[in-house]
Amino acid sequence: MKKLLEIKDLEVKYGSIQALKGVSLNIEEGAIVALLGANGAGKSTLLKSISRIVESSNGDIIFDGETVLKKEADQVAWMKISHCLEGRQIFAELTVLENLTIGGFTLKSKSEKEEAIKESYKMFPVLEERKHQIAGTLSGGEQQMLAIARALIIKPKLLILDEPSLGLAPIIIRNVFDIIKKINESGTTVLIAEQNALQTLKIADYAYMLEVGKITMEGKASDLLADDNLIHAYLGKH
Amino acid sequence: MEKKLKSRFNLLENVYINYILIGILFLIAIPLNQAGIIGGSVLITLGSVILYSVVGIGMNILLGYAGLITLGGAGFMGLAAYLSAYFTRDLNMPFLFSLIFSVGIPIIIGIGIGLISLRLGGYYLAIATLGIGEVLKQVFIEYDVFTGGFSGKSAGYINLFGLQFDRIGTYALYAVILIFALIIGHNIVNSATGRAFMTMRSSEAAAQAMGIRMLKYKVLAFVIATIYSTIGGIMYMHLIKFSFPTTWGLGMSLNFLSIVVIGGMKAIAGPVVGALFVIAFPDLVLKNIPIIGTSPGVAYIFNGVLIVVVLLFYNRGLIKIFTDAKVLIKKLIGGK
Amino acid sequence: MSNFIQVIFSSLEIGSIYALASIGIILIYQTSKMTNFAQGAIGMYSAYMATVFMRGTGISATLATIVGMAFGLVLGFAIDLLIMRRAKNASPVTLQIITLGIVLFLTGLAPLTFGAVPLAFPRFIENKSIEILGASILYNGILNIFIGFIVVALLFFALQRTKWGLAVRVTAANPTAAKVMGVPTKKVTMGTWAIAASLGALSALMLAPNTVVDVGMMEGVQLSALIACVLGGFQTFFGPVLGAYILAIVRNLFGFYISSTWGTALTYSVILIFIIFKPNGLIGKKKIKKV
Repeated sequence: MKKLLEIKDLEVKYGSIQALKGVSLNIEEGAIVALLGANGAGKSTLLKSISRIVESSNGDIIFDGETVLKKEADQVAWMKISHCLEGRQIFAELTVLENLTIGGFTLKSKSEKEEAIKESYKMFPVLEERKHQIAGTLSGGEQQMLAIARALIIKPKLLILDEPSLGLAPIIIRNVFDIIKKINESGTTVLIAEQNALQTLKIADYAYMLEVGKITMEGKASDLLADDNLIHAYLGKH
Repeated sequence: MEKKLKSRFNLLENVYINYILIGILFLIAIPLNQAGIIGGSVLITLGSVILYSVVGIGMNILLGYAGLITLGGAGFMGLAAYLSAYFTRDLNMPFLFSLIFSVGIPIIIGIGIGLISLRLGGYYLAIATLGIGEVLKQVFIEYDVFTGGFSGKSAGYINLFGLQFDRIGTYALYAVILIFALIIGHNIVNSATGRAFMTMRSSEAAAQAMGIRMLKYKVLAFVIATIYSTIGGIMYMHLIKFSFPTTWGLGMSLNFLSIVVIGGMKAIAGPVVGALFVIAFPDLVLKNIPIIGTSPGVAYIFNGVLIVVVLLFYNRGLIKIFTDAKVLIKKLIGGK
Repeated sequence: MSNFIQVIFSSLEIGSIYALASIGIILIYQTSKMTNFAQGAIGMYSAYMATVFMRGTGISATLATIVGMAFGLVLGFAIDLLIMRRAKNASPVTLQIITLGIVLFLTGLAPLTFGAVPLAFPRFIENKSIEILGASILYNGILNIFIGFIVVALLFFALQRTKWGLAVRVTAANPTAAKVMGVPTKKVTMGTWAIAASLGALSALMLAPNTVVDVGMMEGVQLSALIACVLGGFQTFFGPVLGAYILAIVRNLFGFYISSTWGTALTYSVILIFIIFKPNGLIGKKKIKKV
C-alpha cells in the first residue's frame, strides 16, 4: 500500500519547551490511523505540524511524495489535506451554510462547491435543516458534524481529526465514529488523535501512542486491542 | 588597584548614583554656557529636555509599567502651566501656594479619569483620553480670561522663599528636580505598588484573580502620571515663560508617547534618553541640516520612524544602548 | 424649519465622511486586531497627493479623487507589508503606538513633499444647489451623501455575499481556522489595509472642499471616526456606520442649537459617558476573553 503521509524524526519547540522530540510515523493510503495519548502528550502539536499551523524545528513531513515543510498553513488545503481543529473551531457567528461555503474556498468552480454542499446535506441531513442558522447556536454534536462536513467539502485525500469526541455525549460519540468509519470506507485516509482510546482503536487500522513528545508504542489496532496488559495499563476500562 | 576599581564599579551599580550622575551631566552645561561654548538657547533646549523627561517618567510609569495609555497628557501639562501662570502672575500668589493648587486641581481631574478607565480598556482608553485632551485644548482656546486665548499667557521665573531665580538658576533647579523625579520614580516602581502595576499590565484577568484592587491601582497610576505632568507643565511655564493653547494638543501628547517608547519603557531613566532624541536632537541637529532641516515636519518624520523602528526591532528602547555599554565596560574591566 | 433641514443635510454629509473613515478603522480592527490611529493621516497624505496631481495635470476633481484613492490603496498595501507584518506578535497597545508613529511620519513628510502651504480642493459639483423645504442644499452635498450610502452598501454586499467578503469575515473571526480552509489570511489582511486606506483617502477628499488640504485636516475626522466606532461598537462591521451618522447628527444639533464652539466637546462627552453604561456600544456584543 502506498504511503500517503510520512513523518520523520519530527521535532517541535515552543520557546524552550520541546513538545515533540523526534517523532516518526507513517500513514498508508486508505487507512485510519489513530494517535493516542494523554492530555499534553503532543497530539495536537503533531497534527498542527502537518497542517503547518505550528513550525517544526527539525525533521521532515512528506505528503503524497512532496515535502510539506516548504508550505504555509493556507496552502495545505490546496494539497487536499483537511484539518478538523481541536474544539471544532467552527465560525460561530456565521451560518451553517457560510461555514460549509468557506470550507470550499479552494474549489475551483461554483458548481463543484454546490455539489459538495449537497453531498454534505445527504450525509448530515441536520445541517440542511439548519443551513441558515447561526453556527454557534448548534448543539455540540451538530457542531462536530458541521466541522467534519466542512472539512470534507474539498474531498480531501487526508482528513485530520483532533479529538472529535471532546465534550460530546456517548451516544453522539458513537454516531461520530460511525461517520468517520463510513468516510474512510469511501476512500478518505483518516488520521485521528483521541484520548478516547478504546472507541478509536475499534475503528482504526493502525495506532501510535504518544507520551510526552515521543512515540512509545505502535502497532495494528487489533493487536493493541487484544493486549490485555495494554488495555489496563494505558487505556483504562470503558 | 583592581580592588579600588571594583568597588568604584559597585558604586556605579547603585542606581541612585546613576540618577545623580544624569543630573550632574546636565549641570555641566552651565559652566559650558558661562564659558561661552554653548549658547543660551541650547541651555533652554536642554532645560526642555529635562522637563519633558520629568513628564516622561510619569508617563512611563503609566504606560510602560501599568500598561495604560493616555493621549491627553499634554492637556494636563497645559492646565498646570496655565494655572501656575495665573496664580503667580495674575493673583501674585507665592510660588509654593501656587504649586499646591496648580498640581492639586489637575490631580482631581486625573482621579476622575482613573475612575472612568476602570470601565474601559485598551483602545477605549486611548480614544477617551484623546477626546479629553482635545476638550482641554478647546478650553484653553475659549477661556481667554484665564488663558489669554490665542494671545498666549506669560509668566516669570520662579521666586521661591524670596530668592529670585534667573535662567541659569532655573536650569540648575530643574536638574535637581530631575534627580528627585528619577529616584522617586525608581522607588515607586520597585515597591509593592509597582509590582501591582506590572501584574495589571500583563493580564487584567489574572490581576483581578489575584485580588489586586484594579480601581485603586488604575487611579493611582493616573494620579502619579498627572503629578509628573503637572510638575513638568509648571517647569515649562517658568522656563519658556510663554504658553499658547495650540502647544497643548495631540502633537505634544504624541511627543510624550515617543519619549517613553523610544527611550525605553521598562527603564526609569528611559524617558531621559527619549527626550534627548525627541526634543534635543531635532532642535540641535536636525534643524541645521541643509534644505531638509528647514521643513517644519522633520522632527515628526524622525520621531515617527524611530517609534516604528524601536517597537519593531529594538523593543527595550534606546536606553538599552547604555545598559549594553555598561555591561561591555564591566566585562572589559572585570574580565581581566 | 429651513435651518433644521440644513442641519440635517449637512449632518448626513459629514456623517458619510465619518462613516467611510470609520469603516476603514473597523475593517483593520476586525482583521488585524488593532486600532488604526493613522486612518486620518493616511487620508490627508492621499488627499495632498491627489490635489497636487490634479494641479499638475489639470484633471477634474472626480478623477483626482480616484487617483487619490488609488494612492491610498498603495499606501495601505505598503504599510501592511513593510510594517504591520513584522509586528505580528506585538501587543495591541504596541500596534496602536506603531500607527501613531505612522501619523507622526506622515505629518512630517507632508510639508516636506508638498510644501507647507495649505491647498484648496474643489467640489465635485460646483455652484449648483436645490431648494428643499426652504433650505438651500448644494448638489455636492447630496452627492456626498449618496457616495456615503453607496459605498457602505457596496461594502456590505461585498462582505456578506462574495467569496472574498466571506474570506474577510472568517479571517476576522478565527485566522487559524481560516488558514486551514486555505484562506490566504496575510493577503486578506493586506487587502483590508489597502481598502481601509483607500476609504480614508475618499473621506479626506470629500471633506477637503469644506475646509482646506493641510496637515491637520483629518484630525477631527480621525477622532470622530474613532468615537463613532466606540459608539457603534467594535464588534460588528456596520455598528460604527450607525455610530458615525448619529454622532454627526447629534454634534450638528448641539452645535446649532446649543453652542457652536462647544458642540463637538459636548457630543464627545455625552458619548463617553454613554459608554460607561454600555461599554460595548450600541450594537455591542460582549467578547469573552480567554485568560
